Amino acid sequence: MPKNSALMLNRNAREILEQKVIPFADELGVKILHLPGGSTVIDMGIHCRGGFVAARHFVEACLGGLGALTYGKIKLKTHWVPSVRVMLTEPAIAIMSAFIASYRVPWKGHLVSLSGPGRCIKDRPEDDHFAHAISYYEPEVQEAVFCIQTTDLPDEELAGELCRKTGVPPEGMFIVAAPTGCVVGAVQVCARNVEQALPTLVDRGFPLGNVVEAYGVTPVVSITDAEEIAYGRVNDCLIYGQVSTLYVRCEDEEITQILEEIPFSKNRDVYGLPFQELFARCENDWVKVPRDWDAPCRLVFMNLKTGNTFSTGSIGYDTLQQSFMGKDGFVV
Amino acid sequence: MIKEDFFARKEPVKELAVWQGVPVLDMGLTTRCAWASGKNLVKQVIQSRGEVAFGEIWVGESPLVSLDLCLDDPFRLHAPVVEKLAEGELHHFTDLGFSVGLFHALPAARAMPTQLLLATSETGPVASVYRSFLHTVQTAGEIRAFGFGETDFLWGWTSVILPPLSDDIVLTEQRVQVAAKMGSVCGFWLRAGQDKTIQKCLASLSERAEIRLHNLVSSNTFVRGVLRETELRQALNLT
Repeated sequence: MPKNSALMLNRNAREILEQKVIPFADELGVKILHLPGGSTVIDMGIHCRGGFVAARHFVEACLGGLGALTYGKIKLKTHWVPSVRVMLTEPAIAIMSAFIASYRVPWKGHLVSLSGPGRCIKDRPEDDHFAHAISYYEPEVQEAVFCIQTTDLPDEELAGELCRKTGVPPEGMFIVAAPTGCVVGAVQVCARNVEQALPTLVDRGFPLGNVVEAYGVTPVVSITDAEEIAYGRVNDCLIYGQVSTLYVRCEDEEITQILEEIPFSKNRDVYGLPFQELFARCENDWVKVPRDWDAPCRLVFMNLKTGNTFSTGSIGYDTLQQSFMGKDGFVV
Repeated sequence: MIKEDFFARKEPVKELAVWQGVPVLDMGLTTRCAWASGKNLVKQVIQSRGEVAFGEIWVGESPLVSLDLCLDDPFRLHAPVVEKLAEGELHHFTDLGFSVGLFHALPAARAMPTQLLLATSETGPVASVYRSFLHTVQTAGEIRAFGFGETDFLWGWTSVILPPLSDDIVLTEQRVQVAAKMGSVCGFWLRAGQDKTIQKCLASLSERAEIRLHNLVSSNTFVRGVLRETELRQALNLT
């Protein structure tokens, strides 16, 4: 059994849903569906409006209870815009075992990606490389929470597949869903700030055991019904707007040798282009997106061992402003 | 329920009187209730349909505390019915079953249209938070009055400064207006088939430093005004 299995991410997430979401569905603007097989689906924006409070619960459940989301604001040139701040406990586990959307299952004839602590249940799928980047897993659990960014309401087919893969009984299976084009969708993607940083470090061989604490802040520049535009904008917020801070314990050289390879701004040939355009160049398929494009905007390291601070990357104010205003928006 | 909630939060509230069966809760009239009580009062009015927090807006080198709201259902925000008294003002939220009293002295007992009165100092911190909140309520009400229905009036995000406190009610009220006109940012997400509708609505709203309306249908944002830091600094006499 892994040393931290007592963290019980799935239980934490289930408690958040059962204690803070399901009894307050009306106030939160969400809908609860009990599938015939026994699984529970929580719709936070597909056939309902959702809201900022629901979005906070989505993120905190998706982190397996190992993080807290709060709202703040950031100045974008002359405009103050809302922001999300995520503060993590056990950041490597919260992100690699739960928050990353890298659990792929077939649904409606396609492979879809899910996030949430359900990813860390015993026989983690071989193709979920990020889950295997750390040793944490939860053996023999009777409950699982998955989150999915989708415009289609999860159904028995998806729930059944997840139950089969995890071994969790249907009555213990919870799926939280929201499209990108709603407030929950926008917030939960913008909350993926530290999430964007840690895999980039893994790619460069930086041991995640060095990461002690972490937090990230991302602007939420706008929300729209149009799913494709929404998808572009929330990713603009991440690659051009988020700042993550990692408290690490290591030699300074371990940081400095990879520092310039981390931020999105290293992609000089495309830096400044809206994500919607970048994604279109990849035929709207994440598999075709260069790994270097999924990179944080700005990352700060605070080394507890030496007391030194290092940072890399820069905020793309012009692109964010474009995202904020839209094609035909204006200031009077 | 509301009364129990304030007591449960261990705030320094106390029952001051009973007006014809209606309890009067002292929430800063003579007690030390302050910012946290103001925040909880706002939470009660929005019925927990949103997030309430304090932030800052930096004006030069002076950070002014702001009341920051993430609103999940701004359509339901209704302005109180205001009753002017010699001792201050009574704001009745009849749908919610309580009233807020902004007083310099407790008035004589009177008949109330609600089941609870929360009494606070008209120049104190609870009133400051509450008044900043009312700017958002007013703007939301104007959008509703323009014609946006519940399904087209989705969410809101606002940040309004809490002006420096003063014992002088006249100066306090002036500063409340300064906060609205120079130190407030109000944003709402709406659905309109045409951007022109959004633009007309924007033009119809009362003055705020910055108001922006996001059209979820067209994905465009329309902004009127900007936070006026220099004027704000002068108006509030910040050095």
